[in-house]
Amino acid sequence: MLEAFLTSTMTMATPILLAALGELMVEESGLINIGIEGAMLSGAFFALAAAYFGGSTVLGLAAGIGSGIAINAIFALMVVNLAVNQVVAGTALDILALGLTGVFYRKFFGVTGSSFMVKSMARLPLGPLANIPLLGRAFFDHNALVYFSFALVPVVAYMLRRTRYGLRLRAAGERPDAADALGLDVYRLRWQALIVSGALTGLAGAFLTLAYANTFVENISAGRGFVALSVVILGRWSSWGLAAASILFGAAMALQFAMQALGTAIPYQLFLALPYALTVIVLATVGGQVAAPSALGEPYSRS
Amino acid sequence: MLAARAITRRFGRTLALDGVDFEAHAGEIHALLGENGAGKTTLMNVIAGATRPNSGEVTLDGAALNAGSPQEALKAGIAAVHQSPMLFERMSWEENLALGGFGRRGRYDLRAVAAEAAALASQLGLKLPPPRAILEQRSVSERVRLELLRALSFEPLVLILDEPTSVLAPSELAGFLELLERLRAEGRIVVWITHKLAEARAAADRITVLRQGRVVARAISPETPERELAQLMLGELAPPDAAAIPKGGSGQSVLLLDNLLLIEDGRSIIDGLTLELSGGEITGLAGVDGNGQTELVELLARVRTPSGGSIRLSARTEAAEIAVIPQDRDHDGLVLDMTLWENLLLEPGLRERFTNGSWLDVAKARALGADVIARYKIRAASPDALAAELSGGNRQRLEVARAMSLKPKVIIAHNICRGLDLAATADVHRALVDFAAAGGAVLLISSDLDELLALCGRLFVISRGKIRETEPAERTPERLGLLMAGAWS
Repeated sequence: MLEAFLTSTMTMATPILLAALGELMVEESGLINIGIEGAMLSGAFFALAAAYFGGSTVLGLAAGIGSGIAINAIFALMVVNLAVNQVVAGTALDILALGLTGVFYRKFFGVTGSSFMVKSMARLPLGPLANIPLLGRAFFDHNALVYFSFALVPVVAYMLRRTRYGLRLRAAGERPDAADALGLDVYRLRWQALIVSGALTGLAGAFLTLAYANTFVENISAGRGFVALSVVILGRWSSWGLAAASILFGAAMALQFAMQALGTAIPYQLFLALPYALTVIVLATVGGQVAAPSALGEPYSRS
Repeated sequence: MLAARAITRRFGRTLALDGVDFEAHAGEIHALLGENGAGKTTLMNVIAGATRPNSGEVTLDGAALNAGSPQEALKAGIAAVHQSPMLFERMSWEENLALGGFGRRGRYDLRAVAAEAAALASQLGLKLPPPRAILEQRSVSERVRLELLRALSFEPLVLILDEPTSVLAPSELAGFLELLERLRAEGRIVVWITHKLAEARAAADRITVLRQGRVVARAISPETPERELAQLMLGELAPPDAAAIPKGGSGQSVLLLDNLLLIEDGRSIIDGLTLELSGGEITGLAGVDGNGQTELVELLARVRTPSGGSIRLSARTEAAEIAVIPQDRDHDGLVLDMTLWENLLLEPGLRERFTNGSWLDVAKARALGADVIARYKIRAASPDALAAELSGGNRQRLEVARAMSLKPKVIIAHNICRGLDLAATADVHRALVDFAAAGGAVLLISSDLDELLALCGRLFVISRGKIRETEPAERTPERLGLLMAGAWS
């Protein structure tokens, strides 16, 4: 029971963590991307479509990454080059992705999607580690994406705090005009952050269809992109904090399965709502003013 | 040789630069003199690539620079120090310097950056903050020094300084001038933007004067008499003489600060400060930035609570009758995205007056805005103009106007004329003098000794949170400089 709960926690935390790490880079560069939900959803759809028709998981992952990048490129064009309000642009992309994937899905797969299953991504048990009682199965017997997402945590932390590139990215988010005066190309830095984030978010979407559900249903991302946004706040703009917050949300989602399995008298819908309730509580209570980049969400255009 | 040719730049309907030609030679300190709003800063931004001109070009040693590219300007060797520091407030000073020319090669290592910076700083006689200190907790003058250091880290051929002395203490000025002379001796070009005639005459090799976006005198000698320079800067209008200054007040006490204490993290920032303000007088408080002035203003504005002591009002004064004009007008004084009349209504006392029930009386507030524009000579198209559209001097006039409209008994003014030109300074000073002459009490906190000596009846000095009254005999710049450096405490 506990093993299943922990395993499921890690599985549920993975797409959130992937998307949140990408969003962290974007926010450090001074942008807030609400369109992350849309990028994740299109990643999920196109990954499944490519894997189904192409018959290859790798092809599916590549398609997921590609569509995440495409959505973020539209966002970058709007908010970086045209200085459109970031909340408006992001919301528009969420709606666009929801509509687009829904239409394509019906077109390609018909209305009954149940038979359009793909093979789940292979698990890669990590040798003897996977044989540790209880913890082995829970932490060391997952597919490659789970390991990748957690391995990315120290990489992003190091990149942001210990490299010249990270410093420049944060400079763009702290005071774009000053960064510009020092010869940094703010537009380019923000584009780069959005492209990397698009790839990670698309990958997170691909994880949902190729490793978790093994099929697509409309709005399969179900708010996980928004959860990733609140994970960045709860994690206080630190990669390690993001990992902890992702596990917390993963646990909240896993709990709903555990509770349903236990068959308690409490209506299961309440557990379904748990992660979302947690999101609302986090956004309402953790102010986030302390650690947020100073120029977060402010449009910047060169004079 | 640095040359700007026929530079024109428009912002909306205003013509900031109108066919400006400017030239500076290697190995000279060239002063760019002009009033606020004359176009000095715009010209600097064009030369440094931060602003793209509508027409005209900048060349350095004959090679044209790509307009509107700070990267290219820096690469060509043009670095600028801005009047309000272009720094990353929430980062450490080492990170700020790493974004400049320090530690550019090899592994990214902030200790190497700090070591390089320390080497340059000790050459220049500048002091660096403690390791890892976050910038927003440092004083304004410290920040300006860091920006200067960062600019020098690029080893620029051309260094443009925008009003560098407005935040330096008198004691720091000599070292600063020495630094400029060293740069000149190395064959670099220093462009010094200022509105202070005396500085331009004392330090520059040649002076170019801008007025309303046009060059009115090109590369003239610093021997040009002050009076003549003033006329070039201001046009027909000569600087107004100081009005009759009321000295020795009515003696009627309005506000008493009694043994005021402020302790933060175990450090006393305000240390047993006792001061009585009376009507009909401007009381001065001189000091180097960072000795407790900002905190004192915040205590008087009631945004902070004292750790001990009290602020007592006389029987007939109410709390709402204290108007505070903070030093950082763009952060603490005005909301730049709001209109002029909305900014007036940010003052609770005025807001109350223009509110019916829950409704703002917009028509009346606008009328006040129009009245204020006329009375305080604010250059704004209408009361609906955004505060951001106003120049620095006009923003300050707006702040003073707002304080005066409150009809207060006490005005607390902190570095009120910092960065203002002659005309704006004279207007602001006259408003304070008129206010005191009509029986009001003024506490003028400033690091500008000329201003304090000209206006104040009683003059105090603040150092490390303690104050001391000065005797009239002590009021020479040299003696006051020593006192401000804490020679008595």
